Amino acid sequence: MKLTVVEGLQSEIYVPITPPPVFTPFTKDLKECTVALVSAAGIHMKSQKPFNLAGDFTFREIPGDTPSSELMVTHGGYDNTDVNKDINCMFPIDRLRELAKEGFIKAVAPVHIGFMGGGGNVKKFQEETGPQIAEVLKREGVDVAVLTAG
Amino acid sequence: MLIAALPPVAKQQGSPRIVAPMVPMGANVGEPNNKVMQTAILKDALNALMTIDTYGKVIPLPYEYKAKI
Repeated sequence: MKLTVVEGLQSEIYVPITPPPVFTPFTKDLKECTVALVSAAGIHMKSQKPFNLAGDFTFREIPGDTPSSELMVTHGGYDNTDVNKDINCMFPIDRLRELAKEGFIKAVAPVHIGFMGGGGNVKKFQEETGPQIAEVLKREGVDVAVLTAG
Repeated sequence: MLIAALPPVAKQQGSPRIVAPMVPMGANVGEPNNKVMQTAILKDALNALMTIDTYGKVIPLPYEYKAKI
């Protein structure tokens, strides 16, 4: 079969492009690791500014010792019923504290991150928000980030 | 390490390390108030750091929660 090639023809349908691979080998023992939570589920402290449901590329720094009762969700892209019942099902802060107490990990990070994924300005997320979050985690000496999203 | 409810999407978006329990979007770490399930998912996610050695790997986790909608 002969393929017809038309130069300059473009698809009218936007297709997602998978970004180039980023992979950092894990070389530490979990028992020596400080672990942070990073969630795209719209988690923030009740005292912090809620996310803009129409699209928001900002993020919130959540101090590591924040009680789970002080957290809430602002995200219009998924059913919030479960996370409103128990924040740990998207942001397992109490579970992480228990793992630190048990010695499974070294420590809970001094700061966690919440943002609102599910769309918005993806370019901003990739080029600004993501690198800014990585800077915060580096500054705070975080070894491992556990993300919840998608 | 990403705990994903929609692993194909997570993979397509370029997440380097993915674990995927059988959960709905919005309860990625398991059933609300189910401490046993949440702990197991979180522990398995952390343990997977030691077994995932290449980019884009998805590890299914054997925990299931179906939300009552």
